[in-house]
Amino acid sequence: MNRREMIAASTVAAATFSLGLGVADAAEFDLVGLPPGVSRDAFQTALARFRAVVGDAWLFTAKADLDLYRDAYSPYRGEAQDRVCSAAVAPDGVEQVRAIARIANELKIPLYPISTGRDLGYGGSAPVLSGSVVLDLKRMNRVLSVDEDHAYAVVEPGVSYMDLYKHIRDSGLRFWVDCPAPGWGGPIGNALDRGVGSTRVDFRNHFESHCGMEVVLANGDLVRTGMGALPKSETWQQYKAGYGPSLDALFCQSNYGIVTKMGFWLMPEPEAYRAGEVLIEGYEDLIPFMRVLNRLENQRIFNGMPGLTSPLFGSPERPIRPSAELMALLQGPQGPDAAGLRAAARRLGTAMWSCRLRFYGPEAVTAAQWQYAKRELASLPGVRFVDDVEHFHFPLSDEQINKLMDPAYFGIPSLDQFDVGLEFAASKDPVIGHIFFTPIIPRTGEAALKANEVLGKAARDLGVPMPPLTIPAFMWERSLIIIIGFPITANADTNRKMREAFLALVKLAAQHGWAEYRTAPAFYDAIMDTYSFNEHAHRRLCETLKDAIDPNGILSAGRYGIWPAHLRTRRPI
Amino acid sequence: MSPRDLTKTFSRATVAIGITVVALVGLSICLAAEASADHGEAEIRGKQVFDHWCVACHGHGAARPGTDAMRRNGFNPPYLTERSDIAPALTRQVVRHGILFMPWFRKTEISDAQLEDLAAYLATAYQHAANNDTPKHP
Repeated sequence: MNRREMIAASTVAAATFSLGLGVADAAEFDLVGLPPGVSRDAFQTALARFRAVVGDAWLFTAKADLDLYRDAYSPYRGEAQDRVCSAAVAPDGVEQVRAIARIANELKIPLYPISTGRDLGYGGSAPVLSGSVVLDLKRMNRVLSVDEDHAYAVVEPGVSYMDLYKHIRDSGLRFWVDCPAPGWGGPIGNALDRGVGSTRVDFRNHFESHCGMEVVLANGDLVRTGMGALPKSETWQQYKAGYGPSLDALFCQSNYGIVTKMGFWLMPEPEAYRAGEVLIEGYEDLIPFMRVLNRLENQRIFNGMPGLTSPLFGSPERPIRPSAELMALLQGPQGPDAAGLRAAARRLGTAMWSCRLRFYGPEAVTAAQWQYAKRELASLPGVRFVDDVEHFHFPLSDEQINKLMDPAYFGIPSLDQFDVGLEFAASKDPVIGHIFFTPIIPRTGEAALKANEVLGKAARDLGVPMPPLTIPAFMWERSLIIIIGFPITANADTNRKMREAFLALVKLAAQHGWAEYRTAPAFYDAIMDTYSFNEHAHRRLCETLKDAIDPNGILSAGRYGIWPAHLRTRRPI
Repeated sequence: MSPRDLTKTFSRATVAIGITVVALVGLSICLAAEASADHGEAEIRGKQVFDHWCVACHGHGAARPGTDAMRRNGFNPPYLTERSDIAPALTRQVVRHGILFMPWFRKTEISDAQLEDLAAYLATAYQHAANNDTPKHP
């Protein structure tokens, strides 16, 4: 059975689940479906052995329980292609994980490990291959250590950002945890999906800020990376590389192992935070501004994430609906009217762009850094500055924390970004989720303007609800990222249109040399297809590694477009 | 620019949301008889579940999507802990099936026993809110 047939079979299985047609003659477990390519006997045996490992309470086979593993934000919501699992098993420790892996490897049961399962918009807790058994690591929720002298924490996969934040705060330690916008995900899952946060530049890249991991392989073997390979190591979380090839990245956006522990470097709480605003008058003035901005960041003059917006449309807190005249200037037949936009900005007493520069550090140092940044930017035509649009000293009081609009900038996990659900309006259908198209583009003003004119326009033409101006974000060092949100609704027809628009944008971006850094499982293969240099050499190497590390192909089939040998339809052209 | 910033200028699709929420609250009113006034220990445990899983969206503060959704749809008060119509059946339904942008929760996150505690707490929390206190050991 090739991959396409497998997927077709699992789709049939999914449809069977949704109709509630259980298997009447199941000998021991009342099954709702089988993993693709697995016999009923083998699956019953595997479930019985899983149960012996974790106990009856932590093996789930009932339909109502398995439905909880669906992706709540799936772009296939309610359709046959929506991913479902055939069982879920929740171990409480690494030895249980090893035992489950050994059983699955022996009986060739597809496993799909999840950590907190809260990666909404990127698959949640659902397997990529329907019928896989979800290995739910949420119960492994211990903060194993927080080292004050060396500023690191070691956590298990089920630990959420909120858990780690609370642990550190309750311990009276003065560390920040750089967290993504939604705080109920966890450091391990987020780092392994190459997630990103909002504080200082050297902590925002969550995978890069980890140090040392423990991994269970498909055959149950246990590996520690970096200095963790040294028995009695005293520096597992202090030196990343270890000796020989650095293996950690193998387990990021892949399906080569089950990560059961990771160390993360923590950010010492700074004395102060300040933000200053730079107002840039004209549309094309973004080009010289970005050159100076990059030079400042690459010298670490500012160390927080820059925030670019357009005052023509108000602030994020107080958006202004643009006038018809402004919209015509922005979205004319020949593209944006630069001269018209400059004149409009002058007439309105504002600027085309504003960029917030953020500084974390000692009060006097951040003040001096802002002064230096202003001096370097002063030569830009028409530039203006607003001092201290934000200014805090730490620690914050509970009252201050409660008033923050974006707590993630201060290492405080929250769920405030889910307000986005209230603001989508693709159609009359209620919005029940979202996915994001997030290509990486060069960190230049030229690329930012081009992406607005190419991707922003294309998305609008495809019916994606878009703001008037597509503005890049600065999450990653040395690059920009475009974030285009797609609402997911309860209406399959609307969702199909969004999926088609998504794929059209993937192709268009790739034609310009831009591609996704991360995506929803529905698009794993499409994105992998765009990374096609030298006849898909990247995918071929990923598959070679897959075959060597997980020869039975039991772990996370299809994750990030990496399929085990028995599920591949073809070698790339 | 955050996803929230990107979508701030979108128009609001609140009518359908409002209808759905109204329907569910209607259901809860029908089932209100289920809510008992005194759950004691269960309430205390339920508050712990609420504080761990729910308060980030449904609490007080500057950006609480659950509270904001209730407010935008005309529910006053918008806080679950101050409403008298959160019957246990409503809590069970929403936690296990989600509602609109709110996802459902797995049993490794909120167990069946914890869900019952949460349901008991939310059925009576408004009484404590009115008295400006919190559940205490009887």
